[in-house]
Amino acid sequence: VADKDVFNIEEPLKALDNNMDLLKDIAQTFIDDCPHKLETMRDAVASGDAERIHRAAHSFKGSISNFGRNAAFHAANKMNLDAREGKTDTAAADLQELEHEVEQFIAALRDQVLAA
Amino acid sequence: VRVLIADDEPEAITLLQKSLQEWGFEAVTCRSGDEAWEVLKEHDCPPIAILDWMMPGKDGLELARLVRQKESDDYVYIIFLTSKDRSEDVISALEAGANSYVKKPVNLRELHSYINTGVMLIHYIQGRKQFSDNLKEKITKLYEAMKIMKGSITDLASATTIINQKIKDLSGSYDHFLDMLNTFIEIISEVSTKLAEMKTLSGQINIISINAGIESTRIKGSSGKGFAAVANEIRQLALVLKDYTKGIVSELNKLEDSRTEIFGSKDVIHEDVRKTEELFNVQRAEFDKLDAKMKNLSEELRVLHQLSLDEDVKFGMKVEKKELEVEESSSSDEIELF
Repeated sequence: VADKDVFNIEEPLKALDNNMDLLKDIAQTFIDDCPHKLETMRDAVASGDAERIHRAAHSFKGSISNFGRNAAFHAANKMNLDAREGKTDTAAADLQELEHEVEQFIAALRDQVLAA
Repeated sequence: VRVLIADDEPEAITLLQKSLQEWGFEAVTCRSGDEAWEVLKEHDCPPIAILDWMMPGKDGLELARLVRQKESDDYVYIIFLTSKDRSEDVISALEAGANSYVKKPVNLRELHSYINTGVMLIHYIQGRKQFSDNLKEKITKLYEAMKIMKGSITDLASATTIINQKIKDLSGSYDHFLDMLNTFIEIISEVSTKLAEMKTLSGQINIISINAGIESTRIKGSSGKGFAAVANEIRQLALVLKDYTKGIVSELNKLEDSRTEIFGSKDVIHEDVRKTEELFNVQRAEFDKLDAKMKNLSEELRVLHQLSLDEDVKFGMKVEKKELEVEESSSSDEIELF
């Protein structure tokens, strides 16, 4: 049974008017671009610059939001909100958490969307 | 219809591109605010723009403000598509010039509805602009035609003035001719008087010659006969002279009669000139009325043109405020009254 916290396919399908092909397209786009996104996140966290972290996390959150409000979304959003308020002390740990969630999320996408 | 997408997220680009294609729109994609502005600043830019808020280069807010400040009457319907979801964010976007605000994750049906609303508005604005442009073009043409008509009226009025002046000149020449004729007749009158005197003289010569004939009977011989013959000849000549004088006086009297007739026609001519002046005044009044009507019509056309421009401005179009060239009217200044 799929973990609805990791990925609930009903959410994006509802937003996309049940267009599975479109969901596949954006899932593939997300998976292809994900390494670049994570790299941007890592660079931002390494710089310790709250504004950079905020921008990168905001963008990442936006990308994941296309697939619903899952655990990866919440992890990205936490980093987004903290950085917006200038809080960077937990950024490195949060990034690890985000990477973990994204890994599971991508696996779910491959399994439930791309393989469907 | 072309729709601009400004977003740096590849998923958003894919999602929007494919959806727009499916809905029958042509997507123009830009991955930064700067790239989007390069497209939107052009005159013939896409009429609908879907803007992300946060992206590299200019952000969505700045883009929206720039589009609204653009010196062009091409309206762009702006939809914000962003994961910023606070009320103050929505208000900021609308104040910057956004027409609608869609929160990420995008709900396609919601987005499609906003795009359709945008298309309706753009079509309405374009139709209205076309109507307004046509109206202004027609008003300008009408105004130009009226200026030409006004010119013709002025020319006609001037021609009437010239004709009237010529009639007055002719009337003056006729009066001058009559003066000269009068002088001539006065001279003739004097000649007539002299001729009358001559007639009297010839009568006296006749009597003298009769007396001379009587006296010659008292002279004896051939001398008396010769004297009587000469007296008779003188008498005959006096009679002939009397007849001539009588004939000339009779002709001169006819000339005097003609003068009376000619002077009689003077009144007729003066009456004709007076009637012509009356006609001119009526004509002139008609020209003035026509000129006043043209003035009113010109003013109404200018007001209509201004209203059309004001409506464009009210409607949010950045139009060039080109007023109709005002031309003072004029026949009144150019026509001389009698």
